[in-house]
Amino acid sequence: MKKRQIGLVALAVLLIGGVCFGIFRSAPEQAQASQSNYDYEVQLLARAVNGEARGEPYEGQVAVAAVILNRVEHPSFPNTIAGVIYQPGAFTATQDGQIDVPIKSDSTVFKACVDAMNGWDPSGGAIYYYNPVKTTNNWIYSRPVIKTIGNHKFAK
Amino acid sequence: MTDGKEKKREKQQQRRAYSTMLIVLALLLLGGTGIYQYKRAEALEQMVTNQYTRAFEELVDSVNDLDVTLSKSAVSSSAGMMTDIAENINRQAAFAQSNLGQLPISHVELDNAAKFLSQVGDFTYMLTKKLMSGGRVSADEQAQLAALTEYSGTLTKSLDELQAEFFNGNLDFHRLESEGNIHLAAQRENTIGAGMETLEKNFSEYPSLIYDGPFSDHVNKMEAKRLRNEREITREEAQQKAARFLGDDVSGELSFLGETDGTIAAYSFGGTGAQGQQLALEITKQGGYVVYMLENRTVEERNMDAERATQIGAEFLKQNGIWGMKESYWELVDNIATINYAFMQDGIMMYPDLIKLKIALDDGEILGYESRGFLMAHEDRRSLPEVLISPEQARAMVNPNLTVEAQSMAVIPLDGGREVLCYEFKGNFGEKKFIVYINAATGAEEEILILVQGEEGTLTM
Repeated sequence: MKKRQIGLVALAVLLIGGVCFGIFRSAPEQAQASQSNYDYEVQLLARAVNGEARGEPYEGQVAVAAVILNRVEHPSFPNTIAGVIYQPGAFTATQDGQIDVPIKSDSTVFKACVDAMNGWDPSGGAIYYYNPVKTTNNWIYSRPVIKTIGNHKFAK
Repeated sequence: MTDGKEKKREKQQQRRAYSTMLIVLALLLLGGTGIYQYKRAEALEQMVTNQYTRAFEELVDSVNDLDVTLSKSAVSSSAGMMTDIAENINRQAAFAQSNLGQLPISHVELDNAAKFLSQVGDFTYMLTKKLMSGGRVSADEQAQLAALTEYSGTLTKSLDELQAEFFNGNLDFHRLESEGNIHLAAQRENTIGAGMETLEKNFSEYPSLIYDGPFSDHVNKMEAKRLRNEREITREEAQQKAARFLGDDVSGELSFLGETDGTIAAYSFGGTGAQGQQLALEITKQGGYVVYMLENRTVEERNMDAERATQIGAEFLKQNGIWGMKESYWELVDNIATINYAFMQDGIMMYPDLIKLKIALDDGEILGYESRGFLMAHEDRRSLPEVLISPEQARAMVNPNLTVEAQSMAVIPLDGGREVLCYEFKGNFGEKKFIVYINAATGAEEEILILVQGEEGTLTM
């Protein structure tokens, strides 16, 4: 009988503890040296690209960053990097919290964003991209495709 | 009953009561947590919905203001009034666009509205510049202005209708939230997004605007000058050119990755570098030029300075048949130098003809090559406009605050793809370095740049 009581108590504690842990998750550690506004723009870009193109080839990551920059220049989209990234529903990284994960400046995705900021555009001027296997958006298939890199098709 | 049995039953009842209490306690705690979570979610949802409502209201307000201001432009005749109008339009359009971008509506439904807001400010600004330098609004431009005004009227009316629906409780931002997927979906009714979609459908003939500005429609449809009249090559030829370009930097064969459509049609190839890193490059279908090459290698040491890297880059360009390039700006990040080269014709820098190189500072390996600017703009020999302003006259037009340190000539690109021949003055004012460009034909100030120079390179803005 004692075992049963202990078992019940343990179960209750686990349940409650699990729920509490789920609610009160600890905030991610942030430790970065002070940088210029330009550096932070690259950091924001890197966070978005990380959420969108983590497993993609280097060229693909540069291309995704380039799409964001192309949108800034395009009349149909917001005129700032933050405006484009945070446009509701535009990038999954802003919906699942990945946009808040700091990216190290010596990581591959950060370097990809530096290259994109410096003018490399493997997407060929694209303002849309999608993963044909994952996307549920039917409209995007009507856009003319410029090229395919890795899992992503890049379109105008 | 015996004493023992009674005690046993008592104990059993005790334990049962104890267990029950425990379970009830756990359930209460869970229930309490659940209620707390629900209330918190409700509060957050309300906060988010409030933001959307605010953005929507500000959008409708500023579009209304914009419509009023734009209507006035049709009957204005002086440069002064047009300037006033343009300033207001710019401000109102920017504000409207910023709020439009905050709404949870998919891009599809607000493509034309966003485009209109970008172009209307741009276009009126261009008109102002024209008027200020003594020009007049042409009949064509009048027509474009009229088209913009008509679209503005329709947009304002539609938004006003949406606003009425919203205040009547027929439209809801809450509903949008619960739908989750906010891309185009067939089952959406009575949402702000659906209302906007109707607007888009009614205005599929939004005028295609071509004018001298960054958001003009022609910017996305320009042709690559360098590729004009070049023969189209086969995939095999392209692969050979790619292999030759990479030389020893690639190990093994290149693989064909696909074709690129668009302004610069190309073949795309991939391979592995000497240290196992991925590399990718594109060769143009017309003429077989390298569009870009890109690889990512970690460079641990710095064995040379930016100047040496610049020389290596210049040599590399010559080896690949590109002559006359001179370095302009460079940047060092993580032991990799990114250097800009521009074409020089008769001692005049042609900034639109831009090629960028990424050079590893350990062994001088070329890690990146970017020449789209060059391919779009370069002509073997540009015909330049007549220089009507002498160097001394141009010098006199520079603001006396600037302490001029260097003077030269350059062709610079302007918004909208236009190029202009200028005198280039580099100097200081206060703690900042500036470059001022004076039009060599008209003497007008075309551009001012700030040079931010650091140890790790130069940034222009």
